[in-house]
Amino acid sequence: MTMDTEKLIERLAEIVEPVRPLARPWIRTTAWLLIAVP
Amino acid sequence: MKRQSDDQALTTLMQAAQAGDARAYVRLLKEITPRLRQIVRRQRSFVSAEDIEDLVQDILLSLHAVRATYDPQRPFMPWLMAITRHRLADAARRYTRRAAHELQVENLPVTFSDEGSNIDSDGYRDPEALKQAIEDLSPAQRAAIEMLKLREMSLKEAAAAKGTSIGALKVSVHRAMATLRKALIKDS
Repeated sequence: MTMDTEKLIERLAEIVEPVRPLARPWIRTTAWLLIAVP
Repeated sequence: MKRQSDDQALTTLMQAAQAGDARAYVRLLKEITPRLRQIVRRQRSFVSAEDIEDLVQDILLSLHAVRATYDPQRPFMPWLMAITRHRLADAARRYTRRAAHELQVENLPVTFSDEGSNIDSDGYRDPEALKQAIEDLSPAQRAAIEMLKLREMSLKEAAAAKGTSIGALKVSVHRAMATLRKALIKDS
């Protein structure tokens, strides 16, 4: 990697977009079970 | 106490970054970069400054790629440390893989692959001259050379075969080698 770390930070900030945080593990597990278990 | 408030500040910044706040994201990354540098330097004290910077950038890129996996209800630093551990382990694996395919050469060949440039070869260049030089040796010296150098017998075996002592055999072979060296240098 040759890019300066400061530049990398600026570049990452330029492309940052809102993300939806993952749901809590127990919610994900429940959702998975509801789908997987017939 | 300070650490807790620091972590709380980072958590707040990360939450804002997840919402797409670029300024908060820059602040967060600038805040954690020196800490990451310090952690990497402590854990990989043998690597160069450039490699440390590469690892720090690798961690920042990973953080960016997986930022959605951060749970805003939880503290930020343990999550960052988990990413750091994984990136350091990956780097160690990469290094090991690369090292496995590299050959450390300590003694570089001093001759070229072209035969003409190889002046020092295993075989003697003029076997006829060597044969003649061996024939010119005294019988005792010739026998010593034949047994020890040509037939590769041990000193004990040669001494037993010739019915002489090991010391006398050593003297014979030493004198024979000196005579051969002189004869062959004179010839060349």
